Amino acid sequence: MSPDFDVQECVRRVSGGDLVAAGELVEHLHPLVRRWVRNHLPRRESEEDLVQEVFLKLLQKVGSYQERAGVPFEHWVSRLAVRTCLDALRAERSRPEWRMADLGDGEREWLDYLMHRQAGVPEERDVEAKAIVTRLMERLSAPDRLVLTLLDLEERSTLEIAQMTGWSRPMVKMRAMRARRKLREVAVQLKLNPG
Amino acid sequence: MNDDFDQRWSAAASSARRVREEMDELPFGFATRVLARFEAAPMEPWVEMMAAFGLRAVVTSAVLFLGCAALMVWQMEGVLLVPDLIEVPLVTEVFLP
Repeated sequence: MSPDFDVQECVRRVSGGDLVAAGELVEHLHPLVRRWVRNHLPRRESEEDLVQEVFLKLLQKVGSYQERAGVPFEHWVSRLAVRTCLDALRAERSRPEWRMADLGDGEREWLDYLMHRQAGVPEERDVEAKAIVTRLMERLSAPDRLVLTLLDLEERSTLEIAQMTGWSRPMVKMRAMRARRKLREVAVQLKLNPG
Repeated sequence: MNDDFDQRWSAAASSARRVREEMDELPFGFATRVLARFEAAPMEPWVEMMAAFGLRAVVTSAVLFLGCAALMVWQMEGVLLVPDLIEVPLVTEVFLP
């Protein structure tokens, strides 16, 4: 992403029907949109297809975008991306069934830690932590998964999440609390399901 | 117990955040594909929705109009615009006392 790129000017040109500007906007925003989509990607969805879907919606709706002082265009795009991913997550019909036998050693260590069977945090196991976190979250409903991804993995504030999702802030906090409780149940079930 | 789980979950999430994913380059022809899809899309979804609802609205209005017209005709049949009771006395009493 070039720091000299004038997003607002480009958006104005796109709104006026300039397809060259539309191409430039897609290229400029691609890394951001791709990262957001990757964080919220449903299991069976192709990443590129969903990124394309986000850009398609962006180009169709950019005419309704209203520039506001101090609010970057990227906020509007992130809301659009998150909502598109949420719709895709909701369309996911089945959730995967995991067994202990499917887990690697590092993932088992993390699961033991989460279930209080190991006192200390597993060291130098970031990749395995990511794997077990993803695995557990895949068993959650779309809104629960979304709220934990935004709050715990992307470290967004409840205010930001409220703006992105259209939920109220108390609802964001409530959903996060319930989602973590469900996550614990998922971890317990996984432990009880040795395979 | 739940608080403890939350703390341990936070530690796992924090560790997961440290994993840096490599972002691939923009796929070749990506922007062109997006623009082609955009140009191929005939209308925005809301325009299509309005068009669909608009058609239904026309049909519904036509049905309502015909229904109202039928009701009016049915009601008109019971109302005599020039009642016989007025004309008959006038004729008999005024001209033939």
